[in-house]
Formats: sequence, structure tokens, C-alpha cells
Amino acid sequence: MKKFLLSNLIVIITVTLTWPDMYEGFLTGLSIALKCSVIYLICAAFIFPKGLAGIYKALMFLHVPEKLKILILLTLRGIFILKERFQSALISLRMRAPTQKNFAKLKSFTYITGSVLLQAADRSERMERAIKCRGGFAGFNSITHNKNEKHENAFEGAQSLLQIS
Amino acid sequence: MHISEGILSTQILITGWAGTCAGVALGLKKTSDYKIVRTALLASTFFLASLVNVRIGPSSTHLSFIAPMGLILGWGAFPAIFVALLLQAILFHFGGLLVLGANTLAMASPALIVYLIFGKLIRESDNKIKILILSFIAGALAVIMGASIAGAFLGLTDKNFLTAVKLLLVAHVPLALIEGVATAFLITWLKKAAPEFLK
Repeated sequence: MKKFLLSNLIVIITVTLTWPDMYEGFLTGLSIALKCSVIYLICAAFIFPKGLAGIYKALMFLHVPEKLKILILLTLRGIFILKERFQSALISLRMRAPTQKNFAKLKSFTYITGSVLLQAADRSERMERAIKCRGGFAGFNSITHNKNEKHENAFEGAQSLLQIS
Repeated sequence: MHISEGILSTQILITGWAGTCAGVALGLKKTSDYKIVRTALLASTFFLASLVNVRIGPSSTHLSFIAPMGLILGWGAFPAIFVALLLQAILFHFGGLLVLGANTLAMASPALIVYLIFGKLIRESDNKIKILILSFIAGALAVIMGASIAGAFLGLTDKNFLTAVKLLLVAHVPLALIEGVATAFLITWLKKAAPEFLK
């Protein structure tokens, strides 16, 4: 929330200082910040609490291509798989060269990224083979959801409205 | 480089979504079913790498890796960047969902352009210095192009944003240089360690 308020403040200051008329700029900046807050609050109340499974359900409802849905799920899973590998590589770099700075550090960091990329590519090949062995992507996206009753949907909507107010 | 919610006009938001839908559809069409797994894992790596802050001089920055994504994933960079920005919007509230189309177009088009201009040249070259220079130009150009497209969106929304756009472009020059150096290091290393990776 702090970051969100800070980014709104930066928007107001930047627009005020760069607009030809300062007062008009301040009003424009304020209206942008308000619009941003309203959109954020609506998303925070209706979309973010649903989590990725809820968003996946929405994508199914919107008939988004299967490939894109699989890409979203696998990318999210990949982030959790590769996070530890990345973190341990960064910790080992910090322990090996604690005083490393600027371009030397940038060089080491890009090399770490490169090695994690190669590991990810190897892993993806193994995953491809495993998926082929299981008969392809059929049944891959079998996230099942309990279908909401009408009164449950109404309750969810009311709860979200209460959160906004 | 993320444009915040509430700034862009409806026309620009629709244009952004139209361009993004076309790009993502083409990207998915050109990526085979099983290559989706590779695209997803490589996109995750770039996503994680872009979250790490690297100290350069008195301040720190996080790299966007737009050019390496384009050079490695090719057309697959469009859906990969779309998914990465979607996850950033949902998990960290960077950018936003309405403005996702414009943000994707601003970041994925440079990746694609860089791939189309430099991809073949880098793949076919064996000269280390040439690869280093080409990768540096690709990395820096991708950031400048991304900032220019974001600036164009702002300028088309309201002419009074032009001073802010100039500020945005100036602020991205040092970032472009750092990104260029990082791309040069990464692509040269990949060319040496796993040359088949860029093919």
C-alpha cells in the first residue's frame, strides 16, 4: 500500500511540474491518481483475491487459447521452481566475492542468469518428454473448481463492495 | 517502463490491446505445442532475473532483459512478455490490468524488432568482438525503443505530457547503456557456453 501511495505521489508531482500550467497539471495529476486508485481498489476487491486459479477460470470463460493458459500456469510454476536455484546462486556469488561492485558484479550476475537459463532449458526438455509420455497436454489443465451457486455469487459480490467502501 | 493505470486514453488502451492480441496470437502460432514448456521456463528465468537489484555506482537498478528475451525466444517473446507483465500486475501490482495491452506492446515490440534485426547476424557470427558490439547495440536499442513507444502512448493521450515524455527518455539513457552491457555479457557467454541455444 505504501508503494502504491508513493507511486501516486510521484505521478502527481511529475505531472504538476511538467504540465504547462502548474494548477491544471496538479488537477490532472490528482485525477490520474484517483482513477488509478479506483481501478486498483476494484482489482483488489474483485480480481486479486481470486488468485491465479480464479483468473484461470475467467480465462476459460473468455475462451482464451489453450496454449496461452498453459503458458501462464507453467510460467508461474517455473518461477517457484527456479527461484531457489537463482537465490542459491546469488548467495554463493555474495559469499565468493562480497566486495564485488559495478560492472564486475553486473558481469557475474549476467553469467548466473545465463547458467540458470541453460538449466531451465534442460529442465524444459525433460518436462516436454514427460508430457509426451503422458499423452500430451490433454488433461493437463484439469484444475477443477466448485461451481458457485447464485446466492454464493451474490455474497461474494456484496463482500467485495463492502471491502471497497 | 510500466505505464500506470488511469493515464492513457481509451483509444490508446484499445490500440494497445489490439496490437498485443495480434502479437500474442502470432507468437503462439509460431511456437509449437511442446516449445511452450521451454518458453514458459525461460520466461520464468527472465522474470526472476528482472526482480534482482544490481548496484551500479551510487544507485541500484533492475534489468529488464528485453533484448535477450527477443534474441532467445524470437516470436515467443511476445506471449512470454505478456504473461510476465500479467503476473507482475497480479502478484506485485506493477502496471495494471487495463493498461496491460499498452505495456506489453511497449516492451514486446522492441524485443521482436531486435530479434528481426540482430538475431540472424548474432547467430551466424563467430567473431567475439562483433557479437559483443551487436548485442550491446541490441540491448540499448530495445530499452530506448520501449521508452519511445511508452512516450508515444503518453504523447498521443495528451500533448501536455510531452515534457514528461522528454524526461522519461532522458532517464532511460543510462538504463539503456547498462542494459546494453548486460545483454553483451549474456549473449557472448551463451554463444561460448551453449552456441546451440541461440539457434
